[in-house]
Amino acid sequence: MMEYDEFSAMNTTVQVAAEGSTERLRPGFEIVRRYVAESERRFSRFLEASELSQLNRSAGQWFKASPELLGLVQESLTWYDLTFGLFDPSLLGALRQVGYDRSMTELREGPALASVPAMEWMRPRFADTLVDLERQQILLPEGVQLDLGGIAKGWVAARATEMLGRFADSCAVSAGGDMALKGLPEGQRSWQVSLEDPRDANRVVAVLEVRPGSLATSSVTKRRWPQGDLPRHHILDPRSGLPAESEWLSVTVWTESPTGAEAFAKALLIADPEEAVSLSTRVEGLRFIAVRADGSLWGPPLSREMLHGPA
Amino acid sequence: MFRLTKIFLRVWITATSLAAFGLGWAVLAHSPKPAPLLGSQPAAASWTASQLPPIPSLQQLQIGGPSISSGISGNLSMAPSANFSPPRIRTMGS
Repeated sequence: MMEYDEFSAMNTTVQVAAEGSTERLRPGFEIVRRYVAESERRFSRFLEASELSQLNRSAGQWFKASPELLGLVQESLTWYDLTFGLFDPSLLGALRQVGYDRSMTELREGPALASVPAMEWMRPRFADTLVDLERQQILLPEGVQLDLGGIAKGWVAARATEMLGRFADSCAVSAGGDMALKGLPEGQRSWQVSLEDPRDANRVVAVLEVRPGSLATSSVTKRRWPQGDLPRHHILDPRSGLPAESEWLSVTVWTESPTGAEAFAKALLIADPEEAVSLSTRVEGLRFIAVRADGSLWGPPLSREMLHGPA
Repeated sequence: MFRLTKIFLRVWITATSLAAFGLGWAVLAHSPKPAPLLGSQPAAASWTASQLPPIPSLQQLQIGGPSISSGISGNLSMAPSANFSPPRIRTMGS
């Protein structure tokens, strides 16, 4: 019997599913809630006291980091290389420039943003970031500030799933679409996951059948706001520092790595569709499904195995 | 005669090996050095430098499209039917 828990955290909805008795799972759900709350305090760029904000303020000098932040920055560097820099968590300055300098709730409910003059794009040098695992220190180059919002969700979902796995044989944790899946529901050969229609959050565009591992979706329709006359969204193209102009509305990626799924979902959404397939082959076993504006599903032939059938 | 041939072969193999090694050394010493893929360069610049495998055409990419014969029939992007109950766990983009 699958039991569920759902709550708001990290500026999104966290969904938890696990198989087992309610009594056995209750402490597991509680541990997940506490871990997610603790991770939000650590990784949020909106909290001045978060460890991430402290790291951003220390750019240019070594910063003593927790193993969690150290690991996440290290993995971010790996995915930055593998995506040829299309996944780049150092675009915080550009995000602020296009208006995403407050939480999405404040953006939606606050006063309209005025337009700002275009500025010459100076790309931050994230690749020059140094991670000293022995001394547990990070050196951000001057001018580099990180937004780990997306990749942190994948990281947190994976660790929360491991924690919950002590209470259940099969479980899944999803933080805003960044999902980690452990084991399989009893009698099933795969997990069934609804793929939300990026054009209408109340609809499901397909049902996915996925193996244990990680699933992540990036979408240009989820976090949108106007800035003057310009529509903005939060998926920035690191080559321009502006919201990506993508033919696809969303890209969903399955891989074994939770942070890899998030990084590649973003990178494939930013890449041209013709580049996306080549890019996706850089990670063995990666599958992706993209949704276009007309609702059609796109992806390499092997990704078809992820589709359960017409929703 | 046989002994002379053996000596000649040994000398020949030694000499050509040394010459090939020296030539390889010289070529590598004067070849362009690898550069970081990104660093201060924009991603677009490094993209062209990377040799990626050939890609299928866009038509081949469409899942369930007419160009792919598969066991999946129908339009996969159609709206859910009235009595369809989708899985509760969903992925929706962040």
